[in-house]
Amino acid sequence: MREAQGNTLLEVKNISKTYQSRKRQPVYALREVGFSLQEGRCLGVVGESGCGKSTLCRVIAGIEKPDVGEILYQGEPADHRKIRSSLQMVFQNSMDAVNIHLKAGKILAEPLENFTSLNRNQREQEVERLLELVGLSAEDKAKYPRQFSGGQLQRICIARALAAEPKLLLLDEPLSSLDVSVQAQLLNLLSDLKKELHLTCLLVSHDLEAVYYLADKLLVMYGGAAVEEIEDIRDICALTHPYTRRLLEAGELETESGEAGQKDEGILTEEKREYLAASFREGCVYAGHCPRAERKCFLERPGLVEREAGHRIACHFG
Amino acid sequence: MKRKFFLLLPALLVLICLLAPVLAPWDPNKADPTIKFAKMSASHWLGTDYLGRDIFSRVLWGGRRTMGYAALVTAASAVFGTCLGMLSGFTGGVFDSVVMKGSDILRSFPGIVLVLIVVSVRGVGIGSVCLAMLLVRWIWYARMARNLTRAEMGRTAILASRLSGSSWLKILRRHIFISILPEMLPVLSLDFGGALLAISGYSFLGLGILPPDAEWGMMINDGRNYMEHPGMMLWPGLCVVFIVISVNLLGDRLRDKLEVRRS
Ligand SMILES: Nc1ncnc2c1ncn2[C@@H]1O[C@H](COP(=O)(O)OP(=O)(O)O)[C@@H](O)[C@H]1O
Ligand code: SF4
Ligand SMILES: [Mg+2]
Repeated sequence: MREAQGNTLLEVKNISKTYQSRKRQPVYALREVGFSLQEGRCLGVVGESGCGKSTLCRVIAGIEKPDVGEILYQGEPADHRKIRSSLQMVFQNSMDAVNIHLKAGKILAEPLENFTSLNRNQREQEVERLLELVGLSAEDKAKYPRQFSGGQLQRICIARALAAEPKLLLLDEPLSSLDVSVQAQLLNLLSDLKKELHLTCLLVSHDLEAVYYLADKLLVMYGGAAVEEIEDIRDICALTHPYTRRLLEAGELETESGEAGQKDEGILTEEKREYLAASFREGCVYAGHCPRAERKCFLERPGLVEREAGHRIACHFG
Repeated sequence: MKRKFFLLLPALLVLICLLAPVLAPWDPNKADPTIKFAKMSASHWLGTDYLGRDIFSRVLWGGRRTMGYAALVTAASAVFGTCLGMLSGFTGGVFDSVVMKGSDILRSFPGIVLVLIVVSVRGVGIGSVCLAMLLVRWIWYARMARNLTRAEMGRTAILASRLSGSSWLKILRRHIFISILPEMLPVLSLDFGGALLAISGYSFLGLGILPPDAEWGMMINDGRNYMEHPGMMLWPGLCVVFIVISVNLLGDRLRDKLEVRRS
């Protein structure tokens, strides 16, 4: 195991979160998800659209409250008002994540105004430093969001997150709305920043390659539940959960950008929601699509248990 | 160039009306029966009315009043409505439903009925008319601000701002207000035209500005009795039409600009 001896920075304990669909059906966005993350490491989270990855990030960031469960930060129950600046998040759609009426400099100044006691001039300098840190130029602070490309704007969002000097950076599909070549550049940037600033990261992605490049450990989610987890991402081939196998064989998960709306519809029909609701009470979350599902799978939900050292899986037969 | 001209001319009219105390050649209320119904001349540019008052001076003073009160009502209802609407959309829940239901009820009163009620309580006068107008005019802004705020609240930018440690007040100010402002401006312009028409209309009916003070709508009403001297009605009438058309055009242009920016 790589660097496993670091202190545990974040511990997520059995968090569940249920939303109401428009038809008043419960949507189980998270079901008893738990993991721990050591300082300086990066956890990759993969799973199809609608499986609860963004909800997981929002709950950890404290923008949303879990229905049950607990988040421990540095061993203590997280009080998000106190640790606000230590937990920062980068969102999927950078254009939606910034105020298009503000110049880049003003966008970056916001966390500085709130978290630091810098005066106007010092903030100006810090903004320039941040822009250069993410590979943009100091002059870009006078530009409006519309004047940037998607990749550049995502860099600004990363800079904004870094302005707070966070310990833990939550990256919610930071690359998925970008071109492949731009993705590679941003991945490099993130990798450099992670080393340089000793960041602990949580990277949500539908791209297994990206996760493999940046993450140290991996969590696979399906239907709001964690179905498999490995401590060392180099053991990726040792994953055995039927859903993970399907992902690995497909090479890449369904992309979420662009046709995300349609995909959501396709994946989460009302029928499926009902099925998911039913299986929350009873069987395995994947039972409806699992080629190996047997009677037991529909009746009894497998817990996430340790199969070998550093490999946990939620499957009766995997 | 032509389009700029379209804005320049009404702006000029507004300006000279505002400067009426300086620019008006005559005291607008000074009657002189010896020169009533005078034709246009060097001393009385637009002639005089049935009491021998200088029409040009009265048009300037009247415009100052008509547009001034219209601006006052528009500004007050815009500020109040926008603040309430933003708060309503922002807090949601019970407060939101109360505000929205309340505005629905108020909106169902026809404007003239409200004016009559207020006038019967407070007496005839521009104050009563403005008050009655304020009672309903904020609703438009409140609804619009509320819906725009709700839409804005759904954006990730708001979450990002919370993560950046901004207080709710700062989010309202820095993100929501700035984002909805461009959408509110065309409404502001159109509504000013509406308020101007309403003030003139009520004064025309004798409910608003009281004689002898000049007001465009009232001047038109005065002129009605002397159709053979069209100057009395023509000039204030032209001014009302001109200003209302101009602000409507301005509103449309602002809206077009917005469309372009959206796409
Ligand atoms: N605010 C919300 N209200 C209702 N349902 C929601 C809300 N947010 C997310 N959901 C639902 O929760 C599920 C998980 O969503 P999300 O965490 O965004 O998934 P992912 O990021 O993996 O695509 C989806 O079915 C989604 O429709
Ligand atoms: S528990 Fe059953 S349904 Fe679930 S993944 Fe394992 S085999 Fe498939
Ligand atoms: Mg998501």
